[in-house]
Amino acid sequence: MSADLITGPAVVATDTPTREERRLSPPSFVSAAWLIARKDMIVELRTRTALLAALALSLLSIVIFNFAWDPTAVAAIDLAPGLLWVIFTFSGLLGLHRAFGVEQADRAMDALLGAPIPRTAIYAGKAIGNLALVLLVQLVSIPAALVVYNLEIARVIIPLGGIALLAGIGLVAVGTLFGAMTTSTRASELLLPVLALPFFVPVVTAAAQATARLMGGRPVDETIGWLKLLAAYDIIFVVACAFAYTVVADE
Amino acid sequence: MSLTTSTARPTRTIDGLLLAGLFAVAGAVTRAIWFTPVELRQGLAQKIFYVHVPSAFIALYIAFGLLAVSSALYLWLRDPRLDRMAESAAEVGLVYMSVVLLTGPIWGKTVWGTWWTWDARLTLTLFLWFVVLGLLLLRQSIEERSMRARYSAVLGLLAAILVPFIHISVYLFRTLHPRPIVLKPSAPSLPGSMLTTLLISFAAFLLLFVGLMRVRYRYATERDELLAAEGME
Amino acid sequence: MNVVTPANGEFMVAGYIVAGIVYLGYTLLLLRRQRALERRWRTLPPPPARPAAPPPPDAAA
Repeated sequence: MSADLITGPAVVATDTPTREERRLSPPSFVSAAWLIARKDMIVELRTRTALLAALALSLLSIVIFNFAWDPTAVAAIDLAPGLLWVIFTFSGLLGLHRAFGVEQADRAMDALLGAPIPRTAIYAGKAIGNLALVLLVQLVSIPAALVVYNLEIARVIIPLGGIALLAGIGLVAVGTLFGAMTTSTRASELLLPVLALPFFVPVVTAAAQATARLMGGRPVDETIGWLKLLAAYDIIFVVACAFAYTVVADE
Repeated sequence: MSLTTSTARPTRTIDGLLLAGLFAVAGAVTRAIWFTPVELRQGLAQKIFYVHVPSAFIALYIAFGLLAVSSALYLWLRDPRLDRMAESAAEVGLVYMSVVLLTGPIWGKTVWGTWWTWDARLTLTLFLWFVVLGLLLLRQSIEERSMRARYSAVLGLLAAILVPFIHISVYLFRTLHPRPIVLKPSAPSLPGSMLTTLLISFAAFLLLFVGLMRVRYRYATERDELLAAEGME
Repeated sequence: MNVVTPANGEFMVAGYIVAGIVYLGYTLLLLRRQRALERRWRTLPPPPARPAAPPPPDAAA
């Protein structure tokens, strides 16, 4: 009796883990990834530095380009698709670079790597956090661009959102890996774009071509080809970069 | 890996293979310019073909192929020799790619009328040029040898995966943006004498490539040994 | 049919010269780096003499 008061009631062996056991065992892949993503998003929402920088760059670029071209010579509908996705790329790069600066202080990365979670979960968590950032920026930028350039919104906004999601996944898959690789090197701000931009070309090309066809009211099948390329790119590079991250994080 | 002794110090002989390669190229160029007939429709400028095409083949298939394979093998075997092979293939490959990108437009201007059209092979070479440059810059910014090798191998492998996507993007792009009708620069049926010159040029530039690779690889080995020896002091 | 062969010899010359500069330039760069490496080898101080191995401890102290 008195033993119970000290050690607590005997643990009965059952199949379901007790609260105690659940708390002490390492998190699953999904929950680990989600924990990391959530942490990044909370940190970002509190400080808002990467978000605001990327958003500012995006909106300013949209406005600046308005003055950089002769609207009587080239119609907005011809220019906008390419513009949209080029700006997406550069604001994305800015956001990506800032997102990795977070772990630099106090060598937080070491703590993360020491935790008993698979490396791919770290990659997934970081990538999801970055994707949220990119999509948030696009949520504001795409409507802003449509408004500034006087393009019709209603018909295209949902499909554009879909393209943005696919393009964002591709951007973030490669950008998260390269961000991790360059963050501790010299001249990391310059190295990240130099490494990443060639890899972004299929993404930007496919997104811009699909958008151009979408806005031009072309039949859907012309767009589908580019979207399939984008989807294939996403699948292949998410897998390849997740694997690559396990090599890179192997300190 | 044991410490090197004085017997491993680099000798001062000039590499024979590299010398042979240089002479071979000189010979091939001589033959191309003075002993090969002039192409009727394109004129003398067509002779750039004898430098451009071998360089392109070696850069894209041999140098980049070596880079991709040694990167993949390094990730599997972690042998530093594979890393040195990758770094040598990247650097020498970049040189060959640069020649392709410079001679292509010079020749193209006479054939296409413009310095650049988004010709499939030239575009791919342009992309790979940037990727390999990025790889070399990445290597330069990492001091620690094992980390540098790992990161470089990852990038090399990803670059190989990127190639088909660039191919497809360019192909899809071009079928929608037909380029001006041009003379086909590399006609598949070359008259005999020109074909011979092309093959001789190819052999010469290949020999040069092997010579450059050997010198570059040896430099990498000796540099690593020196750094190990300096580290021990 | 008479085809006029264009007179573009200067393009050929330009092409070959550019290629030559790149290939020769890189070769010279390699040789220069090699020489610099050799210089570093020569200035390397000789490895410190290994201290004589301590005599094995006597069975009887």
